[in-house]
Amino acid sequence: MDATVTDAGRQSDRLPRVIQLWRFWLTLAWHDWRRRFRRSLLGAAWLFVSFGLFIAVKILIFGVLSAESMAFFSVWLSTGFLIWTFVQSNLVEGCNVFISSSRWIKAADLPYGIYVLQSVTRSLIQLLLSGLVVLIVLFLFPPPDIWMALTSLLALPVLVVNGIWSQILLGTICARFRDVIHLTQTVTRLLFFLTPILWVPESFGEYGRYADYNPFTHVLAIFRDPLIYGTFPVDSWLIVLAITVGGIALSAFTFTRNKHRIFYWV
Amino acid sequence: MTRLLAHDVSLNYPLFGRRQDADQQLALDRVSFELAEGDKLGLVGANGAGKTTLLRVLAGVVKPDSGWVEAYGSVQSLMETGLGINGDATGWENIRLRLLAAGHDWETARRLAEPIGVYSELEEYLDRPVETYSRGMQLRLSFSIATSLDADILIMDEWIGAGDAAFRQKATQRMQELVDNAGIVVLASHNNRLLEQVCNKGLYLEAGQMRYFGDIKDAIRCYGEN
Repeated sequence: MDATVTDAGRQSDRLPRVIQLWRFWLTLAWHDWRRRFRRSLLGAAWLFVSFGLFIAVKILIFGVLSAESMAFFSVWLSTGFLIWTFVQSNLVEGCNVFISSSRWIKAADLPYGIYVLQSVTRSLIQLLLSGLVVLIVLFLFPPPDIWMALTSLLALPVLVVNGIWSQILLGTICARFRDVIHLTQTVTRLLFFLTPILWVPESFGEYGRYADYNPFTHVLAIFRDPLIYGTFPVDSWLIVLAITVGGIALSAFTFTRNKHRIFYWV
Repeated sequence: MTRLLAHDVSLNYPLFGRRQDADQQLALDRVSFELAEGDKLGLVGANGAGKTTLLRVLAGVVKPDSGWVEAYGSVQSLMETGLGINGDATGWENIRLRLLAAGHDWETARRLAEPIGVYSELEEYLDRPVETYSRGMQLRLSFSIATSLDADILIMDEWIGAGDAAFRQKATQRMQELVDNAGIVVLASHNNRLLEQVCNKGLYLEAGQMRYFGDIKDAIRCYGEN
């Protein structure tokens, strides 16, 4: 027999509840954000400081080791690290997205997508604030073609969509299989070195092409290539869009089959 | 017309981290009842009888394995303290948060929060993070919010345990108002006096099975005999 909870008084509205309740998850994200910097003197400015320092030190050390020019390497590393930070926080925090919201999941009949959007919003705010550091770098080392450079902004909505599906997928799997949380953390740490962030594939000659088998290379490329080469990476875009479509399908399948179990798992 | 129906609701609780034993626990076994406008149902039964699970199913927080619930009217629930509360946000922020979760906009949430805060009598504590509250104060906050949210159906779990005498009296009075408002209330409690005062119907659960459903006094007597 089908088990449903109907609410006759609520079916008039067309928009999904998760969108209708945008004020709620935006407020939750804001509370998370505030907790992170509570009672700290610099507050959110810590983000600039830590991101800026990381970039500066890495440019100094790896820039000297690298065969590339300082201008090229500065843009390469800061843009790559910016996008990687967003990807990483979605993967790592996605694992705990339902677990850490168990106090709400056990109390209220709210769509679970709320907690995912809360978490993605948090990462997006971090991306936008750290992006200011990248803007300074781009100001010092301007991109070759300013109009082409603007196409890198197209990557942002795609990144957000990918953040949403990966958090739903990982959140569901990790709620049930807690080992996947640690697995994801381990793999993410490895991926940081396997993805061309600190290194440039061209400088590895023949071996450099192996970077193309790493999907994250293309995730970075759709943002980075227009800024650094002034080109529009068609192949990378096609790969990323294919990942997006496949990921949404996989995530929707996994979530809809398991959403009624998540309550017990968190 | 407010109504709340449960049809043959069964639910198994999955157990994790055990190897040899059964991997699930029967929490509710084909529970059925029907409540009409104005009915106040009291749930009685020992700890672990399935009262909280039934409340969660009725609140729509968890889906039963078989059977279904039909709720005609808006549902609000007050579960154990600490749930549905953001510990590092202040009392005022939590009130507004719950109003936003109910679908109100910023302005309405701000306006509706005012009387709820005043009713809770937490005064200057409302400006402090909820995690600094005592259990009784948290309960006052949760109770004030849940009973103010203009719901047709109110679902409450063990809320009377904490809270000082003055607030308990106030809470009983608020419950009486809700009774007069002809909505549906489902209440689990070990306080028989309160149940008799507030409820007209009673449901006695034992190990997930419905042993009695009918008048509250008979349900309490049934429970007492076992």
